[in-house]
Order: sequence, then C-alpha cells, then structure tokens
Amino acid sequence: MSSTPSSSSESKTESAPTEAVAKRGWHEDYAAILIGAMLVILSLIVTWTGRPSEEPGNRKMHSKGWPNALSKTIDKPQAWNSNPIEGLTNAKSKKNVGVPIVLGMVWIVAIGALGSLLMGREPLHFLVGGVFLVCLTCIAYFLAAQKFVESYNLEYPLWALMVGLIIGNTVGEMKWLKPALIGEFFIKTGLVIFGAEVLFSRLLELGLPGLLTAWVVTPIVLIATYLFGVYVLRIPSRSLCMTISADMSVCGVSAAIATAGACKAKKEELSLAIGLSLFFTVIMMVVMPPFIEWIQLDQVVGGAWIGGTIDATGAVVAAGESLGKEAGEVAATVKMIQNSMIGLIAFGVAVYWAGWVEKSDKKAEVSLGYEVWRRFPKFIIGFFCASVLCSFIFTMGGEESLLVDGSNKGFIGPLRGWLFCIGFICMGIQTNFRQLAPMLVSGRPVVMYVLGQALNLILTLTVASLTFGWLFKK
Amino acid sequence: MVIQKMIRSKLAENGWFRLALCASIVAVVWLIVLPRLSSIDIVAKHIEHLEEREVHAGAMYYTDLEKLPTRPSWIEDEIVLW
Repeated sequence: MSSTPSSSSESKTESAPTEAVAKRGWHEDYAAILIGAMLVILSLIVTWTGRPSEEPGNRKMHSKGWPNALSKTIDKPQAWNSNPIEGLTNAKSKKNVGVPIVLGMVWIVAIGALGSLLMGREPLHFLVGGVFLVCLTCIAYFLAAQKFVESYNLEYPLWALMVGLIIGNTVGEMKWLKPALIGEFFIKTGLVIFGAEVLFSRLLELGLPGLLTAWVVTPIVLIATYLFGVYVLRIPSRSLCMTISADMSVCGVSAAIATAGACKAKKEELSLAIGLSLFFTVIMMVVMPPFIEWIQLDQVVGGAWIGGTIDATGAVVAAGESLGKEAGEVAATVKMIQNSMIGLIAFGVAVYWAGWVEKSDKKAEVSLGYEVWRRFPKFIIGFFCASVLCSFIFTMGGEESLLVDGSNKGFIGPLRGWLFCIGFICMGIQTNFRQLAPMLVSGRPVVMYVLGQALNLILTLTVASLTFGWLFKK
Repeated sequence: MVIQKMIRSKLAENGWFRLALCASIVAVVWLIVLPRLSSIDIVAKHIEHLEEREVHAGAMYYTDLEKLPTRPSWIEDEIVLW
C-alpha cells in the first residue's frame, strides 16, 4: 500500500526526525520476505519435529493437522459477552490463554524490532512505540471477540482501524510513536506468511462443480466490476476499484488486503473497501438463509450460492450452517476454493499493475521487462513462493498435508492475524479520510459494490443451479 | 451551559481529554450496550446456534475456522476428481 500524508499537521512537521533516524537499509518488501520466510520455515520445522508417533498420516485422528509446539506461544482473546476477562479462557478447553496472548505480543514486538533493524532504523526507538501499538492491537482483538460483534462477522480489522483512528484524531502521532508506525511492513510480512495458507491443491476440493462455481464466476465478476467502476462510474482511483472488486468477488477482507498490496492502493482505499465489505457481509449473512428457505432452493445449491457470494469466510459458514449441515459443508468448501484463488489473483493484479496501469507515457529507455520488475511489489513474490512451497508439500501425501495444516493452524494463522491487526492499527493512526470524502459523497464506490454484488448473486446462482442442482445433483 | 462550554474548550485544546472521552464511549458500548443486545431473544438464539455447531463466525480465512472445511461424502460418488 502506498503511503499518504497524515491527517495531522503535527505529523508533517515531525516526519523529518523520523526520516533522519532511518539509515540506509533494506526496502520493507525485502525485510518482509526474509522475516516471513524464516517464520514459515521455523513453523514447518517445529511441526515436523513434534509429529505424532501414532498414525501420523491419519486425518481423522489429527483433523487440525499435527500438533505445533509454537501454538503455545501465540493465541488471541476468546469470545466474551459482558466481562472481557472471560476472553482469557477458552470456553471449550477451559485453558487460560493469557500467557499465549502475552507471548504473541512479544512475537510481534520482536518481528517489528528485527524489521526496523533490517530497514536501517533504530530497533530501540521502535520498542517504546511498538509496545504501545501491540497493547492497542490486543484491545482491538478484545473488541472483536465480544460475542455480539463476533457472531455478526464484524472482524478485527474494523476495530483495529477504529482504535487507530481514535488515537490519530485525538492525541495524533506522538513523536515517540513514529518510529513504530511501520504498518506497511507488518501487513506485508503478514501477507508473506499468509501465502503458506493459500494452497492451490484446495482449488480441486469440489471437483468440476466447485471449479465452475468459483473459477468461472469469480474472475468474470472481478473484471466486470473493475471495468464498470473505471469506465462507467469513472471512479478516479483504479486501485480503489480493484480493491473493492477483489474483496466483493473473492473473499472479503483477506482478498482486499492482498490485492491492495498488489495494486499499491492507499491506506484510505483499503479501509473503505473493508468497511463496505463488512457492512454488506452482515446484511447478506442475515438475509440470504431465510430467502433461500423462502424460495425453497435446494440445500446444496443454496450452500454453494452462499459460499460463492458472501464475502467473509466466517459469515459464509454461519449462514450455510443455518440452512443445514450439508449446506454448511458445501458453502465452506466453495469459500475455501475462493480463498485459495487469492494467490493467483494477487499475482495477476501485481503483473497487470506493473505492466499496464503504472506504465509511464515517457518513451521507454529501458526494456519493458525491467520496467515491470522495477515497479512490481516484491513482497508478492514472497507470498507466491510461500504458497507454492506449502502447496507442493501439501500434495506430497497424507502426512505432509497434516504437516502443513498443523503449521498453519498452530502458528502461521494466529501470527498472520496479529500482524494484520497491528498493521491496521498503524493504518488507522495514519489514515486521512478527508482525501476520500469527495468520492464517498458521490456514493460511486457503494454503487459499484452493490451492482457488482448483484451480478455476483445472479451468476453464482445460475452456475450453482447448473452444477450442483443439475449436472452433479446429489 | 457552563459545563457544555467547559467540555467544548477542553475538547478543542486537549487531545488526551478527547481520547478519554472516546475510550469511555467505547467502554459503555462494549460493556453495557452490546451485552444487552446479545441477550435479545433472536440474537441469543443466533449466538447459541453458532456455539452449538462450533462455528467461528468471525473467521477471516478458512484456516481460522474451528474445523477445516471438508467436502460432503456423497460428492465423491457424483463427481470425477482429478
């Protein structure tokens, strides 16, 4: 994501000392790739060394993958209703998660300090602000874990942005906080390790009907909505159009983050896309199941329709399960296929952006290949390599697939959540919504989202009826 | 009137005061308003339903779910996987 000037005038005057602090160091993309790669490899090694001796290839015995010792070093607040302290205990296992939460915070501070060091900044300057930011991250997680909030899929990025905006618009960017505001580094590192969770082999989980539902509809809706926003609605920012199209057609917040990174969207644009996605997700999650029952649609077709259209994964499962067990299974699997498309879509968007959208009008003095490489967001390579590596290991066999699942569920997934969450806190503090005000007033992004989603609903219902309701009917 | 004026001047000059005010609003919403909303019959049933089925509705990605998605067993007989 590209940087934009901060909202406070104070920050402009204070930016000089921070720049002075930064010595010559690595670009944040390279720092994110190195640290991300180290974390993915560490998690795989730890999971491998702790593999169970008894039937290691039995998926029924190890449904969440092999145990990962690193899972004891990271967790997030659990669901609570009226007392946040309840969030320190896992209701199911009755385990106290206070220590893993604190250790998770330590991981984030350590990653931030190492990143600062690689980027030529002073790690000690990062520490003061870093500790403050990670405490805010923990607060955002607690806000997201409230039962009402969680049950309607109001995910943590929303609350992280809110916490950041409150800080940025009240006390502003404090001088001691500035060295720790490396949100783009946190998000890019989160995206690199997120690559380990994007497994290509999952794309074939539902065979042909799944492929048709996810692969035919999703790219059509993504491209049609993007072109509609750019050429019909004439939204000036192409990156905003792409981010909204991706979060609406693929899988909500996670797709928005990956695509925003690929097309170098501004922080404000990503925030707007996430806000739109979460707002419409709640509406669709509540409205779609009763509507499907009302029109007496087949449960399996209804599940596939939900899976292909509702943005957020959690909301898809919740809406699918309210139709029935089978609808829930189909909805979750279709969404998982869409989830797995993020890697290819982010890579494709990055190539398109570097090769066509950002093409300068000047006569080319160097080769096109060099120009594309120069503008290409390098961290996407880390994201893609992590995805290819883990997909390769996953397809090697039953044991290897449990290794990848254990690594992702036990450590990579929770760590990615913390990294995104602190990234959004930084974004909130630095976000300048005034730049987006004219666009918001015009209502064009909302029109784009609504019309794109309408196309998505019609196409997905048609393809789901054709595949799950006719060609491959139960 | 006096209190209103005092609050306005405080808001304008003191960022920390504004922060405390925002934090108080957040605390009231999360500690009082949302728990009450959760206890409304239809919402309570929705939450209970999710808890019964171990659905983590706040999941951002499929790996965040309690149970990894599995395809229905009948589907393997109906389709050709390659």
